[in-house]
Amino acid sequence: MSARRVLLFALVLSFFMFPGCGEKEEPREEADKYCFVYNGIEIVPGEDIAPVIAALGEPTSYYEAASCAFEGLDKIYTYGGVQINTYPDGEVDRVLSVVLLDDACLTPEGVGIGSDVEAVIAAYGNEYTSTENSMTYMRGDTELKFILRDGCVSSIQYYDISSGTD
Amino acid sequence: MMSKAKKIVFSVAGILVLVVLLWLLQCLFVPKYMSKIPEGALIAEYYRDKGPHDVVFVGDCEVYENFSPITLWEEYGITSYIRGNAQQLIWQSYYLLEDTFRYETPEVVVFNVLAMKYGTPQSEAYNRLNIDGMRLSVSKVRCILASMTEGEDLISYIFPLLRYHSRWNELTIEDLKYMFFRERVGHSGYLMQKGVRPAVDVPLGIPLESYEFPEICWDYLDRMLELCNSHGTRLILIKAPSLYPYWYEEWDDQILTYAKKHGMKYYNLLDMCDEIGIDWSTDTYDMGLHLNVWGAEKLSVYFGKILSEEVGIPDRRGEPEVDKIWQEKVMAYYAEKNEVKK
Repeated sequence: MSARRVLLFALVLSFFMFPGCGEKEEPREEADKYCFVYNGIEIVPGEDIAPVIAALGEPTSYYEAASCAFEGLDKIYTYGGVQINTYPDGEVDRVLSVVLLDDACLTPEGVGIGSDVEAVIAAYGNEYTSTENSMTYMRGDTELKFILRDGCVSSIQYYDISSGTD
Repeated sequence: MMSKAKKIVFSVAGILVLVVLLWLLQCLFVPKYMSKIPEGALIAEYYRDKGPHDVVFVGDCEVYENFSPITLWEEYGITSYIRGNAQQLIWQSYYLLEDTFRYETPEVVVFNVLAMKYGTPQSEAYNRLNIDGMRLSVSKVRCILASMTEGEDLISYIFPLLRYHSRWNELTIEDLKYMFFRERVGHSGYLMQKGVRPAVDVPLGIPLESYEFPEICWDYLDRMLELCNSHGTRLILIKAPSLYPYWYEEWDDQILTYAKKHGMKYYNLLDMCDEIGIDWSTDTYDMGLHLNVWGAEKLSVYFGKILSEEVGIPDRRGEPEVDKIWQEKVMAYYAEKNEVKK
């Protein structure tokens, strides 16, 4: 076989061996993250939910939303006033968000539903972005959002922002 | 020495062979969406359908899983087609509508408004389901440009081999079997589901930072309305009766206001579940996200009455050509509905 043919064969072969355009795999970054603590168990956005469920036991309610068309379930676990949303990542379900639904729970820094803006700033500082109705703090791949109504916190939401899930 | 003419002939022949080879490879490598993710085959099926249709639905899974055009035909003689797909974004609905008007001019277009919540492209996987099946046209190119996520490129939509060549190690016998012809998976765009999984513990919506729909969505809704008006087609807005994702009152108010402002009809069918007769313990296959075939038939009976009596869509039963087309569709529908899974 001539060198030119070998080269051509190698080129064709490499075309099929290389990943398709648009495919990419990025390593998950381990960084400092916001986390919520419920009954002594840390719930970290972006992390595997399995150990959390194993530690917390049966949720108050459970719902699963199948992804349209694709395999995989978005799962929603509710423990009292805490809602944990997950998303599938291969074999693992990761925490997408943690939402505090009522004033029975506080964040580890002591902020709860009903706290005022000053209490949020006292606990988390001045490094936040805001809209008319929210204050958002970022740490690593996590986001901690305080939804405000009449100057007080009406919802507290932790998010994994590395998932790209809307 | 080879003559110049011979050289040209060999070169042209060589190029032709290469083009045919690449085309064959593309036919082999693109996903077929037959046994897995059948949604991917829906958009292309439209071009094989025998139209025309008085009603065309556009939107996401809340249309192609919740409405049965066969029931609309059987109950009211309404000819309809669903050009929907999974997580179809509003600009995708718009360009699919543009594409549809190249082939027919329906009396009414029905758009499901859940997509108003998405102001940015979501994922390549959903883009592919919505776009790959479109025939090449200016509308398709614009749709691609509006939909691409980071890392995607236009050329791989025009020549899908560039995207799928790495499937060489995933190829199955199905890829060979359906290289040139696909079986029908939908019924006039409706994807039948026969499972039952009751809706329990459906979560309520969590408070949002903002309830305003993104500006780009309003822009495309305006464009959709203009497009319909320019063809003398009426645009009707609906919110399909799916319990999840949560549909906020604040969202509903905005759609109501828009519809009123433009003199359009808007039906929030989620508020009409009792009238429709939906039983969430039997009429859904996935806990309330979508209806199963029995739920879709109930919804279609209800909405068909609206289309027939309030909107004035004509009854085409008794028109020999139309009857013949739809008789075939009805048979295929019941063949699947009555099929017992082995």
